[in-house]
Amino acid sequence: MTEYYLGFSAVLFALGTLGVIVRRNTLIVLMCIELMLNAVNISLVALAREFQQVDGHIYVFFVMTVAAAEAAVGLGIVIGVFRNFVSTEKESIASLHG
Amino acid sequence: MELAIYLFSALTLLSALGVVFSAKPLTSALYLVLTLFLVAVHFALLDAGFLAVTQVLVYAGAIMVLVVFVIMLLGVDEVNEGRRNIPQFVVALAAVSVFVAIFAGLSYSAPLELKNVALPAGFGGIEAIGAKLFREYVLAFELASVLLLAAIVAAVTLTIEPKRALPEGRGLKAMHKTKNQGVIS
Repeated sequence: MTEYYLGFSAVLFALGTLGVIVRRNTLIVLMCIELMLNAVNISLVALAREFQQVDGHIYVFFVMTVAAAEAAVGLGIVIGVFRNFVSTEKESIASLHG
Repeated sequence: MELAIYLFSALTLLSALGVVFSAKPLTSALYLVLTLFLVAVHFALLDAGFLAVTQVLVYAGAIMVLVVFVIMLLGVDEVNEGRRNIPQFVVALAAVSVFVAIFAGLSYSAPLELKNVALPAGFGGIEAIGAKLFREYVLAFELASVLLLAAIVAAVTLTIEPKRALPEGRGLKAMHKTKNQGVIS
C-alpha cells in the first residue's frame, strides 16, 4: 500500500509540474505549485506510516508552514507585477527579453 | 478500506486535473480547495489525524482564502489563453511521464512491506506530534516562526502604497469621490 501511495504522489506531482510548465496565467502556476507541495506531503505521510515514526508528520507540518509563507509572498509579487504590467500572463513580463 | 483509498485517489486525480486544466483562475482555485480536502481525507486514512485537521485549517482555510481574495481583488478572473502551444505541451507531458515511470518503478521494486506490527497508540495524534516537535525539532519550530515574520514583512513591503490625501467631506460625499480609485491604483 505504501508503494501505491508513492506512485499516486508521483502522479500528482507530475500533474502539478505539467501545470507549471504549460499554463500562462501566473495565479494558476502558483496553484499548481501548491499541488506539487501537497503531493510531497502525501508521500511523507505514507512513509511515516510505513516506518511508524511521527517525524514524517513533523516534516509535513514544516512544509505547510513554508507553503503558507511562500503563497503570501508569491501573491504579493503577483499584485506588484499586476500593478506595473496590468496583466497576469507570464509572457507579458518580458522587459529583460533579448 | 482499500476501496475507500482507490475511490478517494480517483477523485483527487480528477480534481487535480481540474486545477491544472481549468480555463479561469477562480475555477482552478475551487478545484484546488476540493483537492486539499481530498488530501486531508488521505491523511486521515493514513492515520495522520492531526495533519488532516491542520491541512483543512491552514491550507484550505487560510491559504486558499488568500488566493481567492487576490483573484477577486485584482479582477483577473477571465479566460485569456489565446494561442495554444501544442509542441510544448507534448514535450512537457512526455517529460513528466518519464518521471512518473521512474518513480513508480522505483517505489514498486523497493522492499517496502507494511509491517504487521500494530501502530503505536496515538500515532499521528496531537500528543505524539507535540512530544517530537518540542523536543527534537524545537529549533526548527523557532526558525519557522522567524520565517513567518519574514514572510509577513515581505508581503507588506511588496504591496504597501503611499498614503493618499483624503478628499473633503464626510460620509457618502467622500465615498463617491474615492469610488474610482479602487484597491489597486
